[in-house]
Amino acid sequence: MPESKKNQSRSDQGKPIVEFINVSKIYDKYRQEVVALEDISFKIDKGEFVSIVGRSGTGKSTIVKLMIAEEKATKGGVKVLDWDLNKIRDRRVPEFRRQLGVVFQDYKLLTRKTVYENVAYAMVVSGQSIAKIKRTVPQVLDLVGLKDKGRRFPKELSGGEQQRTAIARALVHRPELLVADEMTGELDVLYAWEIMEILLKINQMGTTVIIATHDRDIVNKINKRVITLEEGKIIRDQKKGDYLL
Amino acid sequence: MINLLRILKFGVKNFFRNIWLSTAATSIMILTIFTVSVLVMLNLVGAMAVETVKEKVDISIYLQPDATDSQINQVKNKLLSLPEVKSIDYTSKDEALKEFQREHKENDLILSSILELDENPLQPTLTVKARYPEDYAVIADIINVDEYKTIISKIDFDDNKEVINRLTDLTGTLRRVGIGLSAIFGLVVVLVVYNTIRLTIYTQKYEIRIMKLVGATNNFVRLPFIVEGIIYGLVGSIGAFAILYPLVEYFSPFVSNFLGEQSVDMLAYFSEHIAVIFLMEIAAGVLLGVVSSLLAVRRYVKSI
Ligand SMILES: Nc1ncnc2c1ncn2[C@@H]1O[C@H](COP(=O)(O)OP(=O)(O)OP(=O)(O)O)[C@@H](O)[C@H]1O
Ligand SMILES: [Mg+2]
Repeated sequence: MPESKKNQSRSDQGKPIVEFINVSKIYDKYRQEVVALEDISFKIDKGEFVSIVGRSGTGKSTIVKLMIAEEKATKGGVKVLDWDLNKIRDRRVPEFRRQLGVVFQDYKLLTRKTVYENVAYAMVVSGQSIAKIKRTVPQVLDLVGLKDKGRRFPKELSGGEQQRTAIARALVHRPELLVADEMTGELDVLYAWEIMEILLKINQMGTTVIIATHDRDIVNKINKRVITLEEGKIIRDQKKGDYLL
Repeated sequence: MINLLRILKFGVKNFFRNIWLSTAATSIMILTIFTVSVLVMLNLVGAMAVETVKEKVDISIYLQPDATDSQINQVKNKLLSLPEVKSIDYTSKDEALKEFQREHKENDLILSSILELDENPLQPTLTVKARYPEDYAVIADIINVDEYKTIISKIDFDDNKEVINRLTDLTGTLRRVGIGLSAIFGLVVVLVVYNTIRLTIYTQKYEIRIMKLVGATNNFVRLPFIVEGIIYGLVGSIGAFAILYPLVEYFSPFVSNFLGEQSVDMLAYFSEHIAVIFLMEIAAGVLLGVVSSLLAVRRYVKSI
């Protein structure tokens, strides 16, 4: 597979894991154009932990959607894990998606499945063997601290636990890159911090983590790279930043 | 392998998810396959009836008792040279006598009276079968000329033209009506199954989105709906067959009586070709199911 070979050479040369080159995104709904992103460029290297911050409606989720090939850029280039997402073919998208983990702003858990089943689902539908599923799911549930809650249904969980379920599901493919939208959003401080610790732990294990959030306290506390958005543009990109707005 | 099983499982789940809708789609499928099967059966019976009547038609050419071999050959060759002729059967005087004796072996009076004669009074006969029923008149005309008057004593033919024409017309109409009805039913079933699967896709919108976002293979997203279509086809064709078999069993004697032909035996035909009929029904059902689901999947799964 050419992609995996390229992956190898990338880490050798320090090539970025995510690269946005002059990206604009214009939504066109009901003939009304919404400029969500305007001429955005940034690079994220392997192993980084990056927070993308900004007010509601500034385009954080849009960046995430572009990164996971859920939306296509109107202008500019998006490269993730050496895939050129402007040119990716529909039938190769599943392969790409299995190389990264995504936690969605609304979690996207199946309400009629248990925690265990929700996490296993990602492996089931991508054709993994039962043995591998049985091995992997308990491991990732343990990693996010849900070892004992596998049999619960999402509605029997707290918001933080639902989010952790979503993280566990994002991790089943052992991705190099984890993208999380609006982490810790509506959680109270204690829960939010728990989630952040899990993400930091995952990052320490070598996974690149990108989060979109507007939780200023948390971002300031972890002291990692921060990309700040305002009205669809990057107004700040700090190596060890804080969230000033 | 594990994937195939999972896809099958998801497909079966789809089938049961909307059980009322699935039942409706399956019923329409049963109705369609049943109707088409009945029409095909009727066509077959018609064709069989025509064949039987056609088989019975022939021309008997009675030759003069004193016709020589070369004269007989002359007529024979003439007949054989005609493209309309399918076969000729020659019965010599002796054979005719033997036949006569066999037919009347209970009647001593007739037998002894014929044996009393010095000479065999029976005539040699040529029995001619034509390729098509409308050719009998043509053949009769060709033979009924002065050239052969001295050899031929009598040409006897009963071409059953009326019966054959009526039967042919009937089977023709039956076929046209059959094709028309089958097309309509086929269209209806495709529409119903298409819409049923569209609805399944719609009710699964959320699951499909999640599947796609967590890296499900395309097969995994699409094939369960195709499997659902195949289930409609399978259940539909098995259902249709289950109705068809007892009906054929019940109506077969009536059909034979109605045609006055014991040789037209629907049940025997059905039993003889039971495997083929069953497989054809399954193939038709599965084909209809696959086509409908493919259309629905192509149209709707991508846009989710
Ligand atoms: N599918 C869409 N169609 C049309 N407009 C959209 C669509 N998705 C997002 N937008 C618009 O694009 C802009 C950016 O939205 P986005 O969801 O990226 O913001 P966000 O930073 O994630 O906000 P939040 O913090 O509330 O999640 C908003 O003005 C939004 O209304
Ligand atoms: Mg958002």
